[in-house]
Amino acid sequence: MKKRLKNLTPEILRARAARWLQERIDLGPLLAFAAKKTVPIHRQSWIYLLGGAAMFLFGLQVASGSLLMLYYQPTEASAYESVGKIMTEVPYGWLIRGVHVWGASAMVGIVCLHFLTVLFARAYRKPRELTWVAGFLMLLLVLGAGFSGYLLPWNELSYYATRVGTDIPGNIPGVGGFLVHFLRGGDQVTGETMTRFYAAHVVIVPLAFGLALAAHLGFIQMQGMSLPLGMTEEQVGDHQPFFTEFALSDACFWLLLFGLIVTLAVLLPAEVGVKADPLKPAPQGIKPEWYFLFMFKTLKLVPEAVGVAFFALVTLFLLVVPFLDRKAAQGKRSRGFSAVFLVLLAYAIVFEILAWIEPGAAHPPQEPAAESYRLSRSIVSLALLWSVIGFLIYYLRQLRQENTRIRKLYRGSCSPADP
Amino acid sequence: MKVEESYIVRRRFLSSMLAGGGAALGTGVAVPLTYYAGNLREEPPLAFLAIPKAEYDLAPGKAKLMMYGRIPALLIRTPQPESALKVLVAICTHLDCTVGYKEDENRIFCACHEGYYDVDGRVLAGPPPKPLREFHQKELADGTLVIALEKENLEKTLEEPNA
Repeated sequence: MKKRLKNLTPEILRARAARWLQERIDLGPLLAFAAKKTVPIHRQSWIYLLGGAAMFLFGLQVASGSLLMLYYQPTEASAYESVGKIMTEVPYGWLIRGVHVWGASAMVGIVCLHFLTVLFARAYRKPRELTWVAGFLMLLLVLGAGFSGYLLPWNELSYYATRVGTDIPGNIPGVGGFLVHFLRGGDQVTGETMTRFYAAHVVIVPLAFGLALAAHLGFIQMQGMSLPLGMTEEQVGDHQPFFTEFALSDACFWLLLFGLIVTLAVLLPAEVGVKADPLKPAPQGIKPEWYFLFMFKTLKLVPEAVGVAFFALVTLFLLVVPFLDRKAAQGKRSRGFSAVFLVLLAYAIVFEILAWIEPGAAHPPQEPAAESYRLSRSIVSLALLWSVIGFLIYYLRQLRQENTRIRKLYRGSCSPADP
Repeated sequence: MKVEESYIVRRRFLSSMLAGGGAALGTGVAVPLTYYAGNLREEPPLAFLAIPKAEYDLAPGKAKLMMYGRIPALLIRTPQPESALKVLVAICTHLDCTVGYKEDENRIFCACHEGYYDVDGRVLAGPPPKPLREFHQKELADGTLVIALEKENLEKTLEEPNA
């Protein structure tokens, strides 16, 4: 018995597990596919990290969101109080909520970056139009998740953000009235609105996102990675195998993001705000979340119908842009589209900044932090966290280099004819 | 040949029957779903609201918000010398935020997108496209104030004040 156990090296265990699985499921095609999957290496290879990072953040949001559901109560009477309880009474509730709130911002940020790099690299061009459509729908779903989640703490800012946001579709001729009623669950923003925003936030939007993600990933597996428009195969230095070289880079980036989100959650805890009261006017200096600031500023300056029509048109244009950009489809530069994208980007950035520098609402005093929150202790924990992350990233990179070296050696000795 | 053609006809017939049936089923599912998800039911707005004197007895230059059914109403006692009671729908006509009265400026303010109205509800500045709607109001003999969005509702209540 002792002898048998002694022989159980990790390699033997792994081989046994693989054989056990192979006897039940034929892993051959899957493994062959995984071995063939590669990522091109060139100067802009970093853009290939963004989609995977967005997927990681989706996982982080699902995990932290599920944990918040253990304590959150989606009713008009107790939502605000239950969030306060998560922040002050539930052990490490402040941390989980902080990760969820900062994770949401990080996810919107990474998804927007992914969107911009794909847009400017024209990675949407034929034959990847459908990948783009699925991805753009996911961008809208991420914004929808942010918007619906924002209401759930039922504080003044979220209450008014929801009143404004759900009033906007009312401008659409014909169905506007129905849409407002549908979004609010009535003609006003009430507890009914919160219930349906909760359903949207925890089930409908994530489920739709998961389906779109499956399609998006499926297309990518079938078509492989795109090269930026204008880049030829000669300019590509090499192709690295996705398993394990690129996956190791992915892991490093995910670790960095995770560390960053936890650090922000600790140093800048999520706020609870002032409980929403329909009998109080909107507070001075009210602003939406950062990713809606440019829209907010636009609606301040132009008539509502014009602003809403503009947003709707731009959204529609971006959704179908692969089918409009004929030149890119033929592999040619399309300067007209570049100009349009740059103008839109400049507009968004300028309006973001304009809204950003406006004086905001006064921050209400924070609730006394939870028992488990001690800044001094948290700083030590953060230092430990970053040490572990640094250690892991160092060894992941070592492993990656080792794999690259072995790959090149193998290629050199086995197939000398291969360039 | 004849047999083949009849097969094609038969196939087309079956397809169109299926498409028709599918469309009927889809509509049958969509209609209740639309009403369900939109929460589309008859929600008659409040006909009128009777406010006891103590609740609207404001000092000149003061204001308060009060729920008229699901709608917030803004009651303003304008400053001296011509002090009058104004009752307005407190929902900004721009994007639905609740407006408030700025005592020091004697005007109505919406913080969401910085819209300003005067105490009669007329737009002074900012993005609001329309003036604020004003309530019809009537003071009863016992000092109770009755407000209503529709004038005929107000008159109805005056005929039978206990309604």
